[in-house]
Amino acid sequence: MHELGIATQIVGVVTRVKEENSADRVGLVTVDIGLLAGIDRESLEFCFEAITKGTALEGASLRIEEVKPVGKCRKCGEEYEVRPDDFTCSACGSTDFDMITGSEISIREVEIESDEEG
Amino acid sequence: MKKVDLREKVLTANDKIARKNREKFSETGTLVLNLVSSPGSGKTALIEETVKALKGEYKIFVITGDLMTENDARRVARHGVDAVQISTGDACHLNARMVDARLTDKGTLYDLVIVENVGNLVCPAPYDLGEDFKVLLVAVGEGDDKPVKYPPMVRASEVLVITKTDLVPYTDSDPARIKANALKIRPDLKVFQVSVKTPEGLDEWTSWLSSRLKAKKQTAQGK
Ligand SMILES: Nc1nc2c(ncn2[C@@H]2O[C@H](COP(=O)(O)OP(=O)(O)OP(=O)(O)O)[C@@H](O)[C@H]2O)c(=O)[nH]1
Ligand SMILES: [Mg+2]
Ligand SMILES: [Zn+2]
Ligand SMILES: [Zn+2]
Repeated sequence: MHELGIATQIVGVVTRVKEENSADRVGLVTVDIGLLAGIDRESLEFCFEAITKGTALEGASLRIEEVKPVGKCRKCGEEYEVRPDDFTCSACGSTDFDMITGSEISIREVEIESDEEG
Repeated sequence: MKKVDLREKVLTANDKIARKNREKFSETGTLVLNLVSSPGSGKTALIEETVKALKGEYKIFVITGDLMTENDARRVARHGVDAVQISTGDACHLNARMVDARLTDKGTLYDLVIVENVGNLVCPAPYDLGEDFKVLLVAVGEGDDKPVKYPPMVRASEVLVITKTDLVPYTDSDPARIKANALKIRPDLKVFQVSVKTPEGLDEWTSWLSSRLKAKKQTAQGK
């Protein structure tokens, strides 16, 4: 679906980092994707490869770290893993919670390399 | 290889524009809705009924999003309110920049801005447009388990409108079941049931909206 848009934004940020650091190459790009962010891993990998091919980012590879959804119960305050098919609080059985992690799409780290450093 | 630590949210650019939109609207007390649903759940139909009921009392601006055609904006504009279409081409959701570009500074001249997102139950969820809240529509007959199949959209919405309730006799669909499924995902959802044909529930929806409009205006004037 919109993985192409997300890949384009990632490429934009990585290109900026490469230029800011006057780097010659980009290696591994690590991104954190929440399991409830609505992003399909395979399509994102496909899109990233497709739009970096033949550009200054050719050879960069994407590593996707999946982030488990964690919620904080609004009733009892318990923090628990929210399963996509079961939102029930493990402590009190409520399903009313605030999402703490699991919906994020963020770039954690970019590896860059410069020729003159050897 | 040198590692650069980033921890940068990918949607940051969108979120910045959304925040700017939201600040603008909170100054003038403009209420902004973001309507989301599968294609064809009745977003434009609900907007038409809403503007018919509220245009006498409030200044309303409508933005409709689709991949192609100006049909929806035309449907809304014939009721005498300002409406513009965003044709996204191939994008499966609206983003804050598109909304900002259509509204420019005149957005704040209105009491109510209704944004109809692209019909899609997945992609619009993480995109903040600067709205006060997302309104999720699920139609009778589109599958009562839609809310549990598409939890991110339910999580992202504050209001659920179950539409096309006039179709209940012709389907095996039950609005109570749609509601129960949605509340499993988000127990604090505000739920309405409407039909534009009968017209069940429309009064309840428009008077609630009207009270939210007044509340937002008051907060803005209190500043
Ligand atoms: N019976 C019945 N039909 C409805 C109702 N609301 C909408 N419809 C019909 O459902 C169809 C789709 O309605 P729209 O308002 O175009 O739906 P939409 O969500 O805006 O569709 P997209 O913009 O294409 O995603 C139209 O044929 C409407 O006439 C309703 O309350 N009852
Ligand atoms: Mg429509
Ligand atoms: Zn999409
Ligand atoms: Zn609990």
